[in-house]
Amino acid sequence: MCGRLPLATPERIAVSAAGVVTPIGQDLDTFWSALLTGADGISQIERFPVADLRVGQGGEIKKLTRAVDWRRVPDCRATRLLVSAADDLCVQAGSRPLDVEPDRLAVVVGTALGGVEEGERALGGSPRRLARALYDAPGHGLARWLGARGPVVTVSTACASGATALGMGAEMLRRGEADAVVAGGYDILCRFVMRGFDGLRSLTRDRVRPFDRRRSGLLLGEGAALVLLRREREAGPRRLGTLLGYGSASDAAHIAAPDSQGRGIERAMRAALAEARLDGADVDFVSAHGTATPLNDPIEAVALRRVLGVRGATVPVNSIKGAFGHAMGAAAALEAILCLLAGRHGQIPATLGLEERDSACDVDCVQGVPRALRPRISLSTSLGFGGCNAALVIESA
Amino acid sequence: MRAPGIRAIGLLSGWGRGTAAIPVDASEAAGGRPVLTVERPALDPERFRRSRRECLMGVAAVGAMLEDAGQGPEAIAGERTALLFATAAAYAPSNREFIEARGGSMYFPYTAVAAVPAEVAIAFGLTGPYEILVGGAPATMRAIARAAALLETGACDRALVLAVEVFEECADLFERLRSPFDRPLVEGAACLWLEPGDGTLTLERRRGWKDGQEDKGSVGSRVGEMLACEPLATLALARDSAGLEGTQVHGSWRGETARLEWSRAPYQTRPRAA
Amino acid sequence: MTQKEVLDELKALIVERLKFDPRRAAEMTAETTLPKGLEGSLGLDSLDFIELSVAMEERFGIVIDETESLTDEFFSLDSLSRFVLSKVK
Repeated sequence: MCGRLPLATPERIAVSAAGVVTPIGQDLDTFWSALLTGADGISQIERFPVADLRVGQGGEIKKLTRAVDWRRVPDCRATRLLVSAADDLCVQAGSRPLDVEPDRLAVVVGTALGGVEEGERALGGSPRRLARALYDAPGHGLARWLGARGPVVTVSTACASGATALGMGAEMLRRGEADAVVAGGYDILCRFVMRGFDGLRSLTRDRVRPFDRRRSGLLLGEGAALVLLRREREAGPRRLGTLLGYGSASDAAHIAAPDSQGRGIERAMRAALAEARLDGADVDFVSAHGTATPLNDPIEAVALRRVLGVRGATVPVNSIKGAFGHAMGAAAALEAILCLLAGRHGQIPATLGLEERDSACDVDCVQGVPRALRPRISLSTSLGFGGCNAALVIESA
Repeated sequence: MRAPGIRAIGLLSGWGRGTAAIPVDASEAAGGRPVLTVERPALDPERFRRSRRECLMGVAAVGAMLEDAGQGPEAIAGERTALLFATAAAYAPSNREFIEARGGSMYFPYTAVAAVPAEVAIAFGLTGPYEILVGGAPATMRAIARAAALLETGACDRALVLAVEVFEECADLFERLRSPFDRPLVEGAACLWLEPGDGTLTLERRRGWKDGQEDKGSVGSRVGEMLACEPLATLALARDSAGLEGTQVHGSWRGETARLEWSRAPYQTRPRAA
Repeated sequence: MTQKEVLDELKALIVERLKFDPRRAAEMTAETTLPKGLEGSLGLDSLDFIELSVAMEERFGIVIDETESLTDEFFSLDSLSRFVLSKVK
């Protein structure tokens, strides 16, 4: 199913540092402790009107608190989220600007919506050019802030975008196109996407309950998450872990619903494990997509059981979407970072919102309290509109 | 990286079908028209009743590619076919309609960049590796390089690189973008079928615009502004005239210039430290 | 409203919102089945049903509870028009 093995083991790619901005924390440490303590980042949305929608809640970042000189950054929320996460990344990496020759520093970001709010402004008559509304504009804004003069790439595989970005960044390093890549994902909470998901009746009026038998839908969130990737032999000892494998696959089933048997996410997981030269039996922890829609969770669970094999009943699984909603393009990158932090700290956060696991989601969900476990090999899974599936295999340092 | 072989190319553009329709000089042939459009492909109306024009253009481009190959859809169906999609702005009309509240709730999924490749994947049963890049010509060039990497590592047996651009519905917005361009915006949909090959593929890029004026007769001056479709039009034209060997594809977008070159020189893997 | 009137409105919605051809709609009867997977049905999927629900709410001034399973109601134009009538009363 995963095809012929490649000719040579792929070069190992180190994750040297990470930076985040989320509704539960605007730096890595705060994000991590918030996940552990079960902080709830869902609130009534204030930044734009929601009174006409069935649901007005989401994971909204109320105010960007990092000490960035915002005068130097375009007045585009998406770009500002990226810059905020990049600022944290630079602190974590120990240098601002990053210690990389500018021509050899690449940027690869994933997004579901890009700078769509700029599009709303362009159509609203504000003299903003179309260029800022196109989805790849924020990525270029980030590159300018970082002083990166290497390749700047935007990928958009819906809610799998963050994973695609990391996979593409790793491949660019293997080909020698850059010496370091700032890779990750972002998306903003905006009226466009709230109207969209509200109209699809996908949003819950309760809370987000991944894998719970009472789950009734997702909530949306926003954020940005970035990692610094380097070839392992050049990365030095300071690192969070290693990106061992990436895989993607298309469902070819439906524009807005996953394959009913999870065959696409299964193929993506197997492809990622094959690139990592591992199989399901090697996985210690799964950071699942776990959106809490009636459809997603059981499909993901059965696919996980097929891939994880006999240990599938006892490999811990969690979803962080209960804590701040589905951050779309940022989600997969945040979940990859979670895997690295779990390995560093020897704890797996509980799945916020999960109280009574659905028997149709027959995986060992971490619920109630964090679980003491230091995963060496983690698997992160993402599914998106248009049948986009992606998976990452991550090794903790 | 190891150069892939090109099995087939399908091309639809505002000029017409294939390379035969492409003029010698785009500005002259456009006769003052700012946008050259592709008509909504006449595919099964009930099966594709929800599909947007740009989605159908993608499906039609793959159909044209299969015709070029003399193959049926079964030749590409399945998990051993990778699908890579690149576009600068194919999602703009769907986003505009949704923002202007002219679409109902079921049209929201069609605002995703992934909508076009999703329709193609569904229409042809493509279930292999799946990647989507946003940007102009360099994004497509990168998609080709990425496809070459997937073929080289054995992640797939064949890779389709698809690009679609539509401008009509947002022509007024593109007017604001057009100042650097004096060529018409030309809609397009093109799909490239790549397979494992020999030789070397090189992707280079740098910050900075193209040096000086383009030669008359260069691809851009012939096809007009096709953004992400331009590299595929370049390859189609190259294949018609001199063949692929030594072909160079050039593209610029947002201050980055990229060059993709096919060479017969045997590909040598870079030595790696143990 | 009579059931025939509701039926005609539903057919209009199916053309307008689900993009069916008007000639196809003219052939539809109360017995026409809706969901995908049934031979001879209109082949509607979950996305179509969401759109149709929203359209029905707007056209008929009714409220449809999205948490309720409405599989029976969405089986055919007959069952759907009866459902609308029950809500309108």
